[in-house]
Amino acid sequence: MASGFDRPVVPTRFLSLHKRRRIAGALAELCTEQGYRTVTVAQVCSRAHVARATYYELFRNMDEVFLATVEAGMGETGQLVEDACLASSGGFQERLRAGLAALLDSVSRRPEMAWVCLVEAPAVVPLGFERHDAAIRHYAGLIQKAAPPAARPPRAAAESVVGGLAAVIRMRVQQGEAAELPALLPELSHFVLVSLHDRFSRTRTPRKTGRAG
Amino acid sequence: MTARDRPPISSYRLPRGRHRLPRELVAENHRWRLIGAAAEVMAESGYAGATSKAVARRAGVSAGTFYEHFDDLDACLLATCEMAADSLSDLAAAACTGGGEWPQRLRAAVEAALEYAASEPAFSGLLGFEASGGVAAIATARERLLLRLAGLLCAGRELRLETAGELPPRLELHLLAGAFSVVSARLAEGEVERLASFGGELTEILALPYRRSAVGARR
Repeated sequence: MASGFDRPVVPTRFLSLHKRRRIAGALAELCTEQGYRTVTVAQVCSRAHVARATYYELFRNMDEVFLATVEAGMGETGQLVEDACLASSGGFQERLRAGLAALLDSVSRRPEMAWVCLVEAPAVVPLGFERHDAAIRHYAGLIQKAAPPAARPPRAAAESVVGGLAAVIRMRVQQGEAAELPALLPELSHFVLVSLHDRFSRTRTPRKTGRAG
Repeated sequence: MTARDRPPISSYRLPRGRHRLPRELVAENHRWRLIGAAAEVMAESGYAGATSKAVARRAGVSAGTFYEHFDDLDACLLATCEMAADSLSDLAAAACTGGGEWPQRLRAAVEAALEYAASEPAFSGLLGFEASGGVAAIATARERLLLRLAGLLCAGRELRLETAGELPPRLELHLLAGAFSVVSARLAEGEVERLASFGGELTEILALPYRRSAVGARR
């Protein structure tokens, strides 16, 4: 650079981590705009502001970038949801609500990551599909663990509920309506409760929260 | 006849050489083969590997013939998904008209759907959430299917007592989407043969929000 400033010294490891994240972010944006299968290396490099050589130092091919992006998105959201569940001191319903709120909030803030994780990943067989499936199982496990022992749902029921939530989120993301997801919290937590156990189905959602539509 | 005991649809070729078959019949046969080929190509290589050329080659027709029937790959996929969706919802609806109480009819519909999924894995694979990969045509066809099935399932609401509290407005859509997700995951794990034995559990999942016992016996 022609400026008189010295370049700051940044550790290489940090730099390459930062570049990996930039590349992943660029791929996520491009996927949302045009679909994964048409994204080129040149597009990713120019969007992420990295040299093609740097790209190939960090990744062997586009699928590797794709999976790293899925992993980053799933990991980040999963952590937020788990933290929210743990931070809630209430019973099952409060925890569920807290976790679901964190999930919807995370998706609405980064719709391009949700696009990669929920819309594109399952279609990238086998690894993307498996990662998606693992996430469904993980969330189903969280629900099972949080439920009181007397009302613990069987695995298939918990996975089905999570699959239903994933489908709602996927549909909204696909229609470019991710921003509206947090408003669906009352309806979706009500859906989870009535789907899981008789016990919860008698509990109405408080009227004043209304029902988002 | 199921997919397991018949040759793939894409191979339903007409006799070689000159023939006097009417044009409409030939066109119908081409379209049918292209739709079968699209399902087979998607099942084998996913959307990432699907091209109109690959579909035409699999069907044994020229690229020109492909474009006589469909504007592009997505149009062909939409027709393919709609065919799968129609088959599935017709089978489920027919099973629902059988006699018995609502839970028995639901069970019959679920079993009919599972049987279709097991016998036509290439077509039913297109109805799973994993197929779309951002393809609007596939997502649209699936959404329409969910709406049709939701229309059948919501008959369960009449079973509930008035005191039971409201159900979420789009409950049926969400329940069904969840059921599709579970079945997709099982199919991906290669549990095609055991799918039929899943009918009871799946019926239970779909019926639970409507159960009589759930509705205020102890209110």
